[in-house]
Amino acid sequence: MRYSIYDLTRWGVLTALALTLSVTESLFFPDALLPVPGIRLGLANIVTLLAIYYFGAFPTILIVCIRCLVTFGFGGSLMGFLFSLSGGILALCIMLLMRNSGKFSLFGISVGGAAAHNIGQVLTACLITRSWAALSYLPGLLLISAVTGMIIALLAIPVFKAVSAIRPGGQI
Amino acid sequence: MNLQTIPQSAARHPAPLRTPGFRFCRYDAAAILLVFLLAAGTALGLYQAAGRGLTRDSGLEAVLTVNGQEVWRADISDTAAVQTWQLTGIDGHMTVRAEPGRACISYSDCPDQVCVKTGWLTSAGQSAVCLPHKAVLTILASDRAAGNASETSSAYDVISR
Repeated sequence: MRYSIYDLTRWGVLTALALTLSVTESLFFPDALLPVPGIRLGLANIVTLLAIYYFGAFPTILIVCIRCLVTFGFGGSLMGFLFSLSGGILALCIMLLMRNSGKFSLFGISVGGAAAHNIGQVLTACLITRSWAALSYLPGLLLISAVTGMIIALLAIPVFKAVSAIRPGGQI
Repeated sequence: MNLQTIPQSAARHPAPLRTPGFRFCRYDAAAILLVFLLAAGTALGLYQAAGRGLTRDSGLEAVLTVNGQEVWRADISDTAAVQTWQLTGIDGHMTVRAEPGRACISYSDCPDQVCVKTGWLTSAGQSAVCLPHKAVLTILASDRAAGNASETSSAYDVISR
């Protein structure tokens, strides 16, 4: 399938938005302040939600991978890269499946994505340490992901409404 | 490029246009319930696995593994002595502390500090994980009776990879 410059531009803008959101998030909620290690609000997930609805599977995979690569390139650690990539890809797959089922609203998809993100990260941690011990972080992370997933869905709804107000056809 | 090309191009590759539902429905509730069940299941499974063989007078042990291999083990039952242990030879340094009833990774020079922030581990099945050093500190129920397990395997002070 051929893609036009227009498509590439839209994907690039959303990638930039995702990067901006994840930087903003780490500025406002630095890791040092959080009580449980490893939790994040996941603002960049708003972009993933937009992309799976307006662009489809392949562009969304591109956006997630490029976001992880750029964060890694600008001073991220290798561990952080592996983490965000594994979490991001698993979350993406779950969200695509949930979207294609047509049964879930934005809330369910966002919570599913957040939970899948954490599961992917914990499984990567298990692989790296070669032990199942990292699973002990999973229950707390999953409970928090249900909350953050709902918050992200609430934040994403106005974005979706604004986009469909600009172009009633649904295209960004 | 004139303005007309934009809608044309967009129309040539129509994105899957199903706008999502914005109202919380029962399938969402089911998804959240599933997440909760998964959390409870993991917690229960870990608790069961760690507490296997736990009897009333068995003690607790802190076990440190690096890269899946055990490098240090300390008794942390009520009568145990306070021990600190420095792990060197990996890419950095790490200090593990064992006290009666609890253990923690008290220092690590890794960038994320997740392992240090995990804090004290007090019950069987709890773990602190340091990914950059590939180290895991876990609390296990020791099969020996409390009090007579004070020896630790201190054969390692440099871990070669």
